[in-house]
Amino acid sequence: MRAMAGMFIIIVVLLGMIAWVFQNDMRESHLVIKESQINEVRSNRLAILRNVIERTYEDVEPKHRAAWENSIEDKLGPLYGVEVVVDQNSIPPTAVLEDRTYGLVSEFYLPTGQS
Amino acid sequence: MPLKAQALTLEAVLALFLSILFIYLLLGTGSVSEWDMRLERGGYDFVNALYMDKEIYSALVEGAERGAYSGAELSLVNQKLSTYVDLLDLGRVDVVVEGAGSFSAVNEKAPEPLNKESFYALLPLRNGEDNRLVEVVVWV
Repeated sequence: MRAMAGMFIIIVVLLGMIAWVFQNDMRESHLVIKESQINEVRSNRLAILRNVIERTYEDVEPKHRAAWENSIEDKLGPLYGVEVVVDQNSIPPTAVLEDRTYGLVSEFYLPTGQS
Repeated sequence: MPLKAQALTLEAVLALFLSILFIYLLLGTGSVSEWDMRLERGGYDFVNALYMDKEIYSALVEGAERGAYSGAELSLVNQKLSTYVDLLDLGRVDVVVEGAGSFSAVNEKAPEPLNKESFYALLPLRNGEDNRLVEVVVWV
């Protein structure tokens, strides 16, 4: 009776260990998948925002660019959870997009073909 | 302690251990797919289309500058959106221009859309004198 009980305990403990190792592997792979998805989503948002900034900058007259900059920095950036800094005084003008939550940064020159 | 009591205690401990193990297995992993990546790709393509498709862009700008969209503009933009929704195999798309109007297109062949994601763009009016937000809601 005692031998049977001992065997039962050993089997349960072994099964538990196998399940625990398997579970850890699954958990780790799920975390990796989630992390790569988050990176892809956040990179995609930065790419969309960059696209909007580049395309609209070309359509705005120089005298209206301060208002445009305010709209980009104060209205559009926060909707994407991104801090936007446009520097129109640098040559060529630049924009920096920073996603502080996920540590992503995108810096690029604004198109100067049309002004 | 009598043998029967020992056996009962042992059984209770094992039962507790097994139940904890099962709960851990059932609830431990969580869901893998948190985002539907079709929404992301659809959002990128639609925001891009607002600028790249000159017919859509000029209709959106002209109507917003007047303060309302004409029947012809509504029809044109809705038709264009409908084409893109079918091409991208999405369920539905809604485009709302701040203070001017909204557009919508549904893919009749797609299953009932359940998930949505919002994306935003900017529409410079009168060469940038006024800037309107555009919300693009993509459904799958």
